[in-house]
Amino acid sequence: MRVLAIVPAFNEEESLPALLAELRCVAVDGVVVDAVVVNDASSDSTDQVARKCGATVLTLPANLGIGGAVQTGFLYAVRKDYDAVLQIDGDGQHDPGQIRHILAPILAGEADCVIGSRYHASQPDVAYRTPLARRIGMKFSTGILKMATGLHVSDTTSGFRALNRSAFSFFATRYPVDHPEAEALLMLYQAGFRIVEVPVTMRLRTTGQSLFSLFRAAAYPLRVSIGFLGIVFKGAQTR
Amino acid sequence: MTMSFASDIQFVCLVALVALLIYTLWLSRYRGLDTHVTVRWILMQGAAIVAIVLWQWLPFFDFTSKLQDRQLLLVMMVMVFAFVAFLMLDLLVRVSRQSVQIKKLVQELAIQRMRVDTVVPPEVLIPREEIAVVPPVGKSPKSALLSGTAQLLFLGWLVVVAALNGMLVNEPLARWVVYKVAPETKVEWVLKPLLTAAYQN
Repeated sequence: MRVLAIVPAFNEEESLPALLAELRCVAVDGVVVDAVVVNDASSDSTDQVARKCGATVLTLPANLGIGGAVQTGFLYAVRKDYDAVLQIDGDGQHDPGQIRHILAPILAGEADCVIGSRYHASQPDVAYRTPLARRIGMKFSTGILKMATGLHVSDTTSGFRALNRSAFSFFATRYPVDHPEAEALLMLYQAGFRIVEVPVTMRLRTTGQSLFSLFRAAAYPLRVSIGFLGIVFKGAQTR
Repeated sequence: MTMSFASDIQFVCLVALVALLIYTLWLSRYRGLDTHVTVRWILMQGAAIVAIVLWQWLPFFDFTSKLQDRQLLLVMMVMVFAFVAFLMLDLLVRVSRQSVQIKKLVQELAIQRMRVDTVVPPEVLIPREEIAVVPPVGKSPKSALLSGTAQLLFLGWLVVVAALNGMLVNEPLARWVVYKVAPETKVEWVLKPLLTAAYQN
């Protein structure tokens, strides 16, 4: 099985070398993991650093945001005929050592989308301190997702995910742009994909800045509500 | 104004707004209107509908009730809103579609660039300084729309036309030119009737 690890990166020159080195060491039985860095028009030397580390780099000539960058990875995976994709942030918060847990339900054919959750009831990541703004935003998106679908996802903002071929092919043609994680789950649910959460631990960001600033966190509930309503107005998603 | 007339007006306004709302949803589903844009418009149209439903009780309309033809003002306002919204939605559909196209182009460009880099790595590419400058093919600089001289002449002509027009509509300036600047010139008999023609009455 061929798996593509998609690493969206915006000004992540400091954290990329360590992350890519860790990704090279990932060993899952019967699985070949390749990595592609999607450089979202960074102003630093993310592109050169990633190339130097031997990664395949897709450099976007204009900044598309996290949604556009990840979707470029999905498109690439479709073209290169991968069997599954992994989404892993370029800031180094996601531990590549956890990839085996995330891939397990995909390999077993039990899920179409697997979310690595810090707050999974069975094994919450107690060491991870979530900033207050993010926690509020996440509670909100969890609540609204449950209201819209009845689905309980404890970590809706987690970007540590795995998708099988049918799920990432679905997203290659349509994917939300801004703060896409929660909206993407609603789209998957509407299209009838199976979503599963697995517990993971995450590391604290050591370099760069989170996209989840205080201002963005304040606007997040509104944006998520608007995004959800927009998807509902668009009508049921089909595969 | 009878109450029934006010109700009729209210009904017409509501029909217009609801039609606009349905049109917005249709654009979102079948014409590629961006989902975030759709929701914002629907919220705005919803607010307008609520305002029309409650217009007799809203304090804002106390002001307009002092004006004559309150209902006609309302219907005019709603119709103008609906018309402007219709135009804007049409533009927004174009913007949404082109945004999607730009996103696809950017993504495609990144993938194709990676493929090119695989064949010819960036480090083996010739440095920019060593690339011979090739003159652009096509029109020469002289074949521009207007040459530099022509542009100056055109500018001069514009100034003269503007000055003459200014004098025709500006009586003090015209009088100043005719009686102070050029009283002795032989062309006075031409200028004077021309420049003061508008003020002869």
